[in-house]
Amino acid sequence: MDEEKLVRDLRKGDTDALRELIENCHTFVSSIIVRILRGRKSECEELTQDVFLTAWENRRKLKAGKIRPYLAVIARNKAFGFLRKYHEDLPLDEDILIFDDENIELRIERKELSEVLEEALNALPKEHRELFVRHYYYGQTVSEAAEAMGINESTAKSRLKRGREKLRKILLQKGVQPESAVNAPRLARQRTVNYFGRHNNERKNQI
Amino acid sequence: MKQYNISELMDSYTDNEFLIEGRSDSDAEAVIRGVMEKARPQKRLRLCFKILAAAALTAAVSVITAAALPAVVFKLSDGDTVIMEPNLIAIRSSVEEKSHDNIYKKEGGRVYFTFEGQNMDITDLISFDTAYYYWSELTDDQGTTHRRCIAVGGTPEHIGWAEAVWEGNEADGSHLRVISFNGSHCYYQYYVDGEVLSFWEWNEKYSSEYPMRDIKFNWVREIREKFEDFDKEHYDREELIWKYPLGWKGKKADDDIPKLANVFDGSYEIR
Repeated sequence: MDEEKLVRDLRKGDTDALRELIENCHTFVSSIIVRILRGRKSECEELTQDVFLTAWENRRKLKAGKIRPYLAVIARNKAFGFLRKYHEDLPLDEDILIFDDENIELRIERKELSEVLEEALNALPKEHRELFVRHYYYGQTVSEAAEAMGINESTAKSRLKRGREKLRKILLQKGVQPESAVNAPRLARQRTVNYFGRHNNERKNQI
Repeated sequence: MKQYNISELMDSYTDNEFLIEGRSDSDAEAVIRGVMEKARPQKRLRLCFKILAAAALTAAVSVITAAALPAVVFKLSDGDTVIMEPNLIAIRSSVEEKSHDNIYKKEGGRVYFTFEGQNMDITDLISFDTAYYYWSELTDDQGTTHRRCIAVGGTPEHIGWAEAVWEGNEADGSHLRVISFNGSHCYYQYYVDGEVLSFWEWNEKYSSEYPMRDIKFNWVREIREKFEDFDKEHYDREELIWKYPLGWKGKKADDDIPKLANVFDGSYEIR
């Protein structure tokens, strides 16, 4: 699909372009959702519709070449939101990336962060990478991911730990700076705001 | 010690390696149907906002008696003001919480859109300057279908909603009728294919093709019940619409109109 033309037409409010977007991306979107919802197909269809409606309503934010990442963010938010709504969201084990040094600040553009994540994940062996993605991207528990991959839970935990270490290391190399170069300490939540340049809730619908 | 949530960081990542597309077996046509039913070109709503603004700012337009129900109504729910600009709907509230379960409900700090049996968490879709738009249809007493849009915007703490109903069906959807109100009279303007018309101009050109119809607003009945005991003087379904098109909440409607007008000329100051 010609994304530039598609985005142009979408921004004009062309519903034919919306149809084209759905035809091209609905399997991508629904595959993310059904994976997070652990196979619940009936809810998947409804949430998939919601994703495209949200994209349609926010179509001015669409950018050529970034359609899929944008849809993926919405799809993840919708799916995790659905689980949260029914109190079925799974707490991600050790979901926090810890930096020992208090005097650092993550200062990185979203595009760069995307590259850093790619680099960190590519530095992992494929099986480790898959586990990391299953757990942190699709929200599978460690035991679910371990079972799906045919490994035991303790192995999975140690692999995840290795992935976190790799990510932390690469972020330290590329994405963080001494805080003295930035600002005075703020609350962790506010850092998230700073780093994305806007509030979390708003960020969820941004590219 | 600094901490970052990895799952949130992963929003910047897109999995193209392990995702097996098509695994969901979702029905593309069903998704398209579902989306297309609700997705409408936004320009219609934006157009409506423009025209509402124009109507509010125009001092001398045709004055109509309360003989027919308005085709387009905007109102507040639990807020004082609904600001509508071409690209903006922002709702603020300075009054106590009120229940609007037929449109939305709040639970655990989240906002759920509940209109017409929906139950959708829209918290992350709305903000101070972003509204969630829901498109549906409204069938009047004569069986004519009208396009309708419900907009909910704001934040869980400061939220409100607005409703727009377009005169006519899909075919004549470009005929937009806007009402404004100065406390004693209703002012109509019609918008047809880019042209703003007074009622009389519109009537002369189009009335035979697009007869006005009464539209039954469910929410009007609800408002009436609220005010029935409070203000007998205004107890009348039609009158109520004229007097409280903006969702009167204990203030005289006369007080509300200048505020709305000021909003549209940019001089309104949010309290």
